[in-house]
Amino acid sequence: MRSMLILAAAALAVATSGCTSTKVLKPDVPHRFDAGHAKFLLMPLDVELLELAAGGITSPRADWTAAARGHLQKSIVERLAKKNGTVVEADESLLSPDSQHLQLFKLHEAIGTSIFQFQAGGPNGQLQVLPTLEKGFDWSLGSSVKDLAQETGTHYAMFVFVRDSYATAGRKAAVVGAVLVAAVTGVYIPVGTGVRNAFASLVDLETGQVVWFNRLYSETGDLREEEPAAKAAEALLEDFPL
Amino acid sequence: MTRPLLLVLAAAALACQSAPLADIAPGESPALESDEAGFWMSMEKADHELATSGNRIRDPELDAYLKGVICRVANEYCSATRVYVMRQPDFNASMAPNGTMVVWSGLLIRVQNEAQLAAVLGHEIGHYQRRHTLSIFRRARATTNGLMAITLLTGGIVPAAADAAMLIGLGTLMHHSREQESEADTIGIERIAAAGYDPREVSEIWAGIAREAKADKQSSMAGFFASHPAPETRLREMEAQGKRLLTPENDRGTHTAEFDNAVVSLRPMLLSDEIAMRKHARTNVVIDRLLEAETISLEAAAFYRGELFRLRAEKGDDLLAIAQYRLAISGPEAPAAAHRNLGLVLRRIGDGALAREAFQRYVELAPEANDRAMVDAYIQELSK
Repeated sequence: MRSMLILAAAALAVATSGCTSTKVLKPDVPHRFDAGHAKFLLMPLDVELLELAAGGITSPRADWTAAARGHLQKSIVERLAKKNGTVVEADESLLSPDSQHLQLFKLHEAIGTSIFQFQAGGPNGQLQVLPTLEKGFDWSLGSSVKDLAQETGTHYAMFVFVRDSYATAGRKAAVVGAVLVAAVTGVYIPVGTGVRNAFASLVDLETGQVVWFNRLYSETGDLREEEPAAKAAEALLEDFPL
Repeated sequence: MTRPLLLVLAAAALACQSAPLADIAPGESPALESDEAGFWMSMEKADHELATSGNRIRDPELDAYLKGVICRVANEYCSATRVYVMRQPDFNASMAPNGTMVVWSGLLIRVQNEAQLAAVLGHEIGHYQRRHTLSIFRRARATTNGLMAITLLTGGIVPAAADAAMLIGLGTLMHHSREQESEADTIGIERIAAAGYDPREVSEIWAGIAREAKADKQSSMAGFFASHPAPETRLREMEAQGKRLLTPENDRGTHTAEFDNAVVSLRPMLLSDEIAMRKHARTNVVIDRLLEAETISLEAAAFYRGELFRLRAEKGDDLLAIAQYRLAISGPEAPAAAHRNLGLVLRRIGDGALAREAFQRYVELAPEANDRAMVDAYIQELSK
């Protein structure tokens, strides 16, 4: 019985700890920033937090998402400001159906997720990089981004995407159960807990080039709380060029 | 533990019912911390994507017409719903938990009048009213949670037990889904009957779908895991309920003219999308039904059948296509394309003189056509 308890404790430790990794991508010829004069347009954050049930089904949570979005927005603005820049927070109306910039946002959605999926390793960083994308980093939204620069008086647009899931008590129990079963029978039934997949992408509003991209994968930290969310924002902006 | 005992355990674990949900109240939105609010959040995003999708048919008049019909049958839920018509050549419509309704364009050539259309829209309102998405999600979550417990309890050493539990679980879910469909069918037909539409029209929809399914050998609408009842079952159900709900007020309330007026200008595009699916037998049924309902003329039907034969191009199809096009152009309102496509088939079988004649007729009728240069090139080629 005692060994069972130790096993259970070990399993719980495994279930509640985890790693964080980032992967920064930039063009071969690094973009030259005009330090001190850069104005950043922070696009509306694309954040969704999900609940992971014991059996593996996830469902979106509106309250968690709203909390995480608020924390992340605040932290990212603070950190960008610290990096010697001025931050303009884009209004949600930028994405209204009749906004001319909506298509630009959709285009970045396609480009950002393509980079994430095919060049940055995808969810959990475990996917293969496409052979054609092994070298170089050359992505652009095209020069029509100039309109956005003119309208908002900014030089760069920052796009942020975050998907995070959190295990219910039942799921955590299942993780412990799976470890116990493995100890007794030797058969391991893989049961994962919540993970975070995110990326931040910086677009030069003069040329449309993606000048900096960071993928974040993490199994720790709770975005629903201010402190860990600030840490996540820090990790997301790791190696930020300014 | 023996296998039968495990099966009984599995069945017991999965059969546990979650509490039935109350109807959504008009204007109600869920508490922020609920799973329901999570769905609404996702659907707001999806709603935005639908509204701005390149695949959406942007036709304010059609949207207003559909919204009018929805409101006639949805009454108290009218203001909670939005509708988007997507260019998708199949029979379907769907409803999200937040009142976002999607109508596939293929539906609009498969219902014959406003009463039938209203029944489909009323069915979707039924899903909204009864919170069906939430209900099936909760059940799926409970089922997969149960499956996890079974998998862990059997220690992964009796895979058959876990597999059996999985089958039972999926079967239960599909059964629940079929129950929801039947419930929505009933709500739909009751709502249209109350709104003054002839309830006997509803079974006609399913008669049509059953005919299509029968014609299309590749279609598999039945089966253990089918999420919807078989069309024949729905046909019988709706026939019985139609008779029960008939009143002097809704008798013969088909509102065919209003429906026709709303979709007539779209119909050529919708039929051309359907034909592009290359499902010859099924599309023939669609054309037959439009003809039977006198929605389209014999000549118009002939044009579409000519298209079907021309595109299939199996042995003998060219001659059948030519016969259909000839019938099509004998009518007063034959589209110019009938001449062009007749020319294409004639050219293909090597009848240059007649092909040239058909092409010339086409450029006479449609001098501004955007494929004019191409057709002119054919005429030149055939004049040599």
